[in-house]
Amino acid sequence: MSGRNCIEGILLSAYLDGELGDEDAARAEMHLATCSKCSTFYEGMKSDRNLLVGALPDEAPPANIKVQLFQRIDAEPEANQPSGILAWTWPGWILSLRSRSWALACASIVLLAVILSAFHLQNHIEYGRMLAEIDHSRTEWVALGKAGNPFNIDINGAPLRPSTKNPFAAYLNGH
Amino acid sequence: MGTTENLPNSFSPPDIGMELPEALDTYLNKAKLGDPESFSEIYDRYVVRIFNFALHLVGSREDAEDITQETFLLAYRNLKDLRDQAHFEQWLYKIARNEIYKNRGKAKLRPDSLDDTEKGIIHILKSADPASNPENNLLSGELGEKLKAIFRSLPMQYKETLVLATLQGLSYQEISGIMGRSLSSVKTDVYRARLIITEKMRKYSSV
Repeated sequence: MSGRNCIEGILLSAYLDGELGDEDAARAEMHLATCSKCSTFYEGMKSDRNLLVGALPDEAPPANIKVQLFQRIDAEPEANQPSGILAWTWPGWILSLRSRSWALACASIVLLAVILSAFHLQNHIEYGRMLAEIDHSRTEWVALGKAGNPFNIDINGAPLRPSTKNPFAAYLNGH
Repeated sequence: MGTTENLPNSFSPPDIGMELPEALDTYLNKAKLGDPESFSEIYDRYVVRIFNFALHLVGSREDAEDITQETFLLAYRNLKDLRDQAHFEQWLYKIARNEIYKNRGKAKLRPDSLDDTEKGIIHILKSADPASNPENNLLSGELGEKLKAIFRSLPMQYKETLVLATLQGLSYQEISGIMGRSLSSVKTDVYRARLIITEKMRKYSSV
């Protein structure tokens, strides 16, 4: 295997980072022990890696980053900082409802419930009114049937034909 | 598994994933409720890593400080939306990465976008050119400086993978999550970055 071969080079690089499984790592080790070309390439990569790690050591961040950061956090609006009684009396899951997505979902549910309730109430009122009208009409009709139709006219003022002149009169009068 | 040998003494291995998950979980839960002390603990644990990630990629200490501060501020503001706390580190790196790219955009708009470090790197690279002045190569400084210069000249994508894999000790899987790329492309990028470095170093040594 040649170190310059792309696929094999990738494997050697992964081996250097400890990213190969046991079986592949063992195969790589065996190959490196027998192939001087790959071994030279691998040693070069390893040496450069160690040199790079030494050339770019971790630096300590200055303390003023933290000071400034927490000054900015302190100046953040209260929405991000529950305080006082809220902080210890409310369970976490209620506080988490403050997140926008949850708030939107809850608002949608409440709105839907209000619309459905209003629709139901309106139906209920309509139904009641209809029952009352039926009841009223029946009362009038019965009274009219009992008393007969003294004017012998229909609701539009047209004269009733003999056949439509209260066909239930006989029944209502007990005949 | 493969090797982890021969790291120089100056390098302290990153402790990513080494801390107790319960402790981090507790700090995150409290920080989500607005507890600044818990957030301070989280900051202390990750600031060195985030600062150096930014520093290696942007090359300017001042910019790295700004990026670090913005990263943690954004993390604080958006912590309540973090659902998968087990991937907090990756999430933090992603924020830092966004800030680094934003910073690069701003830097390009500056009239003189090269800071002193970059100018120095260009000088070293020029002096390493065999066609320029071979005598200067012997005087141009340490091998490490040359390596640094080569590193800085790498494409951003290669630098990112190399910093995360080599300097910060993250696994390819973690890097893949941070960069939003496949495992195989991460593997390839690390290799290509190394190949460029190795070839340029050989060229430099042979001069």
